[in-house]
Amino acid sequence: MPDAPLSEALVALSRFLVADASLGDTLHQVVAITTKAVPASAFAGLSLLDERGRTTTAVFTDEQSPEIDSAQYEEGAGPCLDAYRQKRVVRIDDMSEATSTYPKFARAAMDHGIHSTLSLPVIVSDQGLGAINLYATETYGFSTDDEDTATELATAASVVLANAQAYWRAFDQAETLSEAMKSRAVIEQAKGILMARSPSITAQDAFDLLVKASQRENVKLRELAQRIVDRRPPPEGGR
Amino acid sequence: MVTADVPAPDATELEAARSRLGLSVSQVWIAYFAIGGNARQRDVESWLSGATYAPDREHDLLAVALNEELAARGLDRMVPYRNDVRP
Repeated sequence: MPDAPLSEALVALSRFLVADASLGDTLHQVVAITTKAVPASAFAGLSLLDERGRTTTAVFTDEQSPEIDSAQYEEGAGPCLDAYRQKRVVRIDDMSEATSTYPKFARAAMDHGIHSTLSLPVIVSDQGLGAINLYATETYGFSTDDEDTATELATAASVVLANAQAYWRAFDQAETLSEAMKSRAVIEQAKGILMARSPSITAQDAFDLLVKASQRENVKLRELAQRIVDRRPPPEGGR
Repeated sequence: MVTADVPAPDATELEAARSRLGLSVSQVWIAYFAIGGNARQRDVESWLSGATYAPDREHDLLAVALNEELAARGLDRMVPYRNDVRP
């Protein structure tokens, strides 16, 4: 069966960029959640290729993100561009050392008081379609753990985009999808909390623990995860 | 993705649960996505039909999603897990 997922995703994207609010909202949520999940980030943006192959900052949590990003789009060189062109995570620990690699971007970033950045590729069907970019005011703002967390969320953005076509076929699912995205984020956060409590366990172990506890107590995973995030102990005697 | 010569035996159990719940493939996909599934709807469809073989993690996420729906309706959690999750 011929497969044209990239063109599908691009068509979906171009529609999203001009018209659709629900996909935009969902992506905005992903970016906002990423900012919360990685506390060092002052703000974040999502760069996406549009249907003409130009890059724009489609979604952002602060006006400064598109302002800084435009410097790299003008110059054709920057961490967000490298992240999706090379399909890898690009981390700049000290912006003052990036002035030779990305002259305009580094200058624009420092003008906005940004001294480190983390860029995660958004990959759909093996094609880099864009990148989530996190900005920190400190040098060395991001750790390897932050990379892992943010990568999970960039994957979520990829899944949203990969399925974008399907969403338009079912408008009534938009709200459901947004709920699903929230649920996913809460579960992700709860896994992170469990892993922080017991550093030896993996993300999969944390998930298994959640599943076991949710079945034992007969509550939905999302509800249990929310309880952990809210640090609410389970009601006396279970339910 | 691994293409199966014969359908995965546990695909039948996923599909049986979906059909018992009266959910569409896209509703199953949403539930699976909501708990962290990363595959596309068309892959999920293919796994449910048994045309292709789901990786263990994705199979178990689908099983969790379907079992949650079953439990929410007071039915038995009927879909077995492959290996990762053993309540």
